[in-house]
Amino acid sequence: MESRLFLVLRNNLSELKRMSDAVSAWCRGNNISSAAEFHVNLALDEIISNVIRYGWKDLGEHQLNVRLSLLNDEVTVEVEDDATPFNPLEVPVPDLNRPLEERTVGGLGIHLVRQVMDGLEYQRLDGKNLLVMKKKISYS
Amino acid sequence: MTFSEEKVDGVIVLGISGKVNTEASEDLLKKMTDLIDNGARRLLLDLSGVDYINSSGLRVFLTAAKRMADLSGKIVLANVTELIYQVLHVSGCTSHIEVYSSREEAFKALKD
Repeated sequence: MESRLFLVLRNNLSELKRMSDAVSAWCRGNNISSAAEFHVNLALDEIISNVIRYGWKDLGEHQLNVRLSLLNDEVTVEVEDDATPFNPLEVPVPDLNRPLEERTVGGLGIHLVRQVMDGLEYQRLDGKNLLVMKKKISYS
Repeated sequence: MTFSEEKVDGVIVLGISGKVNTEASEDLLKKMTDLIDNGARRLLLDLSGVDYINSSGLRVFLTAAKRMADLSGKIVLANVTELIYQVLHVSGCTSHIEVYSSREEAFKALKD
């Protein structure tokens, strides 16, 4: 049986808390392990905050669509937005031995996403960014 | 996120609980900056109550550890849960900050 969660967020960092509360409640409702809950929340936090901070040049209100689905022990997380084209897979791996001030802003967050999720795919479709992330899960 | 603070044998022990997210990271940076500005040179961060951290929180740890090293001081982490340790490790933080499984070991590292 497939379980889904659909969230519509505004481009305001105050939305991050509402998102993490909803994601945690959905994970717990599906008995998803606390490790997988942490990783899904972390990946969404990093991606969404990046889009909200750097995605739009104007100051207007925009919307991000977040969809989660659980099927066959795997969570699929989709993030869709009409921000500037941005492919997180093209962000170079940060040199973790370099001093922090010499590293690219945002590089650490995207690196974490790649480490904690099991698969990432990016498409630019109909003027929108679509990022699909996969996470194999265990249950609590 | 909440803090507890105590001073033991010249070491400032800062207990951190809750979620070290983007919003909380601003408070954490201010707290650690205040402690260092007020002369703290040996700082033990007890993370036993931390159940979430993101890149903003990691940056605060790295920034504070760098500043402390420049001042010939030291920051160590103690009581880090497995999930938080994993994030510290893959982000490279463990190359810049020492992490100990208990307060006792962390105290020893600050006194050596």
